[in-house]
Amino acid sequence: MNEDRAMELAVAIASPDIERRPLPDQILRDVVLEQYDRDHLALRRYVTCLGMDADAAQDVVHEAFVKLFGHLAAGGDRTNLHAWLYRVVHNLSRNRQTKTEASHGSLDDLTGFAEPVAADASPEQKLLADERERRLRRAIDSLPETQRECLILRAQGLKYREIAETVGLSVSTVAEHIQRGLDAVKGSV
Amino acid sequence: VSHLQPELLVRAMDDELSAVERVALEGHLANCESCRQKYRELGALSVRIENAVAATPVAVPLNPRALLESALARNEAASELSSKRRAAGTWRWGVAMAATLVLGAVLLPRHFVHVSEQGNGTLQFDTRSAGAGTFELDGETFVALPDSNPGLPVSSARIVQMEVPVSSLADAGILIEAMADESADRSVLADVLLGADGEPRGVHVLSGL
Repeated sequence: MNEDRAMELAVAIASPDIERRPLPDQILRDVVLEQYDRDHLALRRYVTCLGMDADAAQDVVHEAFVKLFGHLAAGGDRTNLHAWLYRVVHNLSRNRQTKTEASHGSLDDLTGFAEPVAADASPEQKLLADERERRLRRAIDSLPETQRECLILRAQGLKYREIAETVGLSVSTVAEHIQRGLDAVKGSV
Repeated sequence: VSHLQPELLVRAMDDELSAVERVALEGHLANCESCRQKYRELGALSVRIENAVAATPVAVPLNPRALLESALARNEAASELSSKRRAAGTWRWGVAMAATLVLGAVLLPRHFVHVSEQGNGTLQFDTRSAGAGTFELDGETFVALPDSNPGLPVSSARIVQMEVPVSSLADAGILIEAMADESADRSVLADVLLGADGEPRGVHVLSGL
């Protein structure tokens, strides 16, 4: 994307004086696609951490961006599309889980290495690191749903206000869930 | 010695403190090794959780952006079609309403309407058919239309106010005395009562002369 186009998009998203002015469809598409490039991996990761499989995650994330297009076309608020997307993805995934009565998601089901292990670590040290990793994931998995959601969103860099909007709670309640979640995880690991 | 609440330490770590809270916390941490230790432990745990979440493998289909572009294009096409259908539906409804009124007017019995001006400027009328072809609703007298079903319920919510050409009324047999001769190309404002079946049941001429 050239600089002029990037500037045009930035202005289209952020300028308060055109906050409610409808954007042309081509600009809207570009805004949505730019936002998609920035956020789709994090959103997929969030719903994956909640226990959603890859196909469902694909459906939910794409549906959220199609809704984003509609939201922008209707002149919706453009001040924090990142948080808006998290809220929509969160609600879509909850609806889907309610419909399918999906089982509690699990970070422990997923492979991956949270803690970097030194290249020259001994096999025993690597085993120990793996074990610590598994215990941490199990501890997060065993948290009550809202505490787990709040901790995952926090780990993804959302501010408390954004987490509160996403999960539909007050900021102070979110702070409480985060503190309790950390406390429980700390006790388990 | 009182120590800081864990919730305060977590919020400090997340940069969620007010300025006042921040000053108090920094003052306490400067003099309390126990709270500094808790703060470091919470920080280390937070980093581990962040790493665990960031290391969660994510399945991404081949060229997902293109999939979204197609989904947006399909969505746009669908909403364009939907808005065209809505517009066409509105237009068809308008035509159907006009046709219904014209048909209703054509099928009217030949009443002779006497128009007289009231004190409030509203024009009222009655028919020379001695009330047999009229009925009252919400204080208004309507000339009944012959093909409507009198057994169906009516309500004032289904009264539509519109301009009705005098010529249509005259063709239907409603002659407006004051203008029967010279003003056949003019319109009058009338309340048209629609029955529950959507057909006009009666007409009440209001003004327009």
